[in-house]
Amino acid sequence: MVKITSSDNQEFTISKEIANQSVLIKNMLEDVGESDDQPIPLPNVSGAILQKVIEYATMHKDDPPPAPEDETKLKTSEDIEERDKEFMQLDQGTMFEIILAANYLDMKNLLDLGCKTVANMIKGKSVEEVRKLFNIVNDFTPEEEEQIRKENEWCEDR
Amino acid sequence: MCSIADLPTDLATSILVHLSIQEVLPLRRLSRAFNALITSSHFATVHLIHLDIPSTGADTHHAGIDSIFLLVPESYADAFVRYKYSSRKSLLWGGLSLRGSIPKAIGNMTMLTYLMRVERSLACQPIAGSLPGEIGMLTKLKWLYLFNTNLSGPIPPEICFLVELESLRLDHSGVSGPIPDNIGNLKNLKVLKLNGNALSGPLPGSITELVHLETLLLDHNKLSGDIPLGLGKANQLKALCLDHNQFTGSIPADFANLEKLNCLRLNDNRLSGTIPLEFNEFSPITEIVLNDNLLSGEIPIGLASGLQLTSL
Repeated sequence: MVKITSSDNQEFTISKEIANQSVLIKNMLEDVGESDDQPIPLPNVSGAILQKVIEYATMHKDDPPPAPEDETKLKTSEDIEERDKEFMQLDQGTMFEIILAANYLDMKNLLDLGCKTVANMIKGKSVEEVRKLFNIVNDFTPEEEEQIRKENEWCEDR
Repeated sequence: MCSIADLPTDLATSILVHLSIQEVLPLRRLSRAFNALITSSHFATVHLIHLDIPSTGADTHHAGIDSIFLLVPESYADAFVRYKYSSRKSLLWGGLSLRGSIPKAIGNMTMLTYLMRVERSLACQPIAGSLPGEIGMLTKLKWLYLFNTNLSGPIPPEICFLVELESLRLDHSGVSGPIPDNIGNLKNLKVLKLNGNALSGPLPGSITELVHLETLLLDHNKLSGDIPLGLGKANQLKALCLDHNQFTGSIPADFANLEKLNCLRLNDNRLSGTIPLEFNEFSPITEIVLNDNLLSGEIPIGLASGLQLTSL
């Protein structure tokens, strides 16, 4: 078993096969060796997010290892497993925190899932709808925005 | 609360690459930060590599991509050239549904031999914008066909670096300004059609070095000054049309050396002086049109017997 602690000092004890899904933790374990039972500090991830990440890793602990050179298979963002879709039914703040955590912990599958989920939220929406969805402030002058709209004439009419 | 704007650039990139080019480009309007990200060359590169666009071989074409190439920001055009087009020998544009322009990045398609707009339907919108000087880097180019387009601005002088060029067609393309001085560098030119534009200034003397010309159409422009002596050296010339310009001075007598000529149109200029006596040498089947000039004197006897001659 492996012990990890979150930024807010919550301690989690997880199995090695779950821990190894994070390349960061895997490398740390290899560096410190088996004998050390000091918890691994993860100062960039809060306990609440770490809880979700562990939930994801537990769900996928029995996945077969990805076939090498088979990256093209999962290229499209529509291609998401149903259980992963359910897992990502989160508020936006948590979703982005999970993406940041997956990036920090170096968990490629979770990072991909997070990115695809956000991409799917953007798909089919107008620029105005995307701004509203993510609270993005339009800091262009009307002239600047019009100029971009003009350059994008061929792909803007939706 | 953490939001999309808090994500570092590489994570925002990882999200946006899951969208198509047509879905991503409108997002430039979200904010300055998104615009900077999406138009960066790094983003264009990562996106194109991620998208499942086939790398096209030397001679295979992908109509969709070839049209998009004219529409995307320069950063994407650049990435296209580097990752998808590096070995392409020809670019054939047809059936554009919207007006695009030729990106500067085209200069790096150094294997290109044919660059043409192919007509598919009259409804398709022509290529607009100016012809980038970078086109002068395509030194293997043999055919440059951009006629019936909606270009603006001058013919870049760099075009004179295209020494392999056999056919240059910018007729009815909208170009203006002078004919580049060093046009005579294009020694392999057989066809030069620049007619139906707004070209102005003199006809560079170097044009007389294009001795392999078979067709020279410069009609319907605003060219002025004298017609340089020496075009008679291009003895393969079959059609020579300089009509509807503002040429002055006299008709060069050495035109009579053009034995293969079957069409000579000099009408609607301000040419003066007499019709050279040497014009008697022309075969009677040659079409010679000289009307609406300031010519004087007598019509050479040989010509007067030809029926094709129109009024002076």
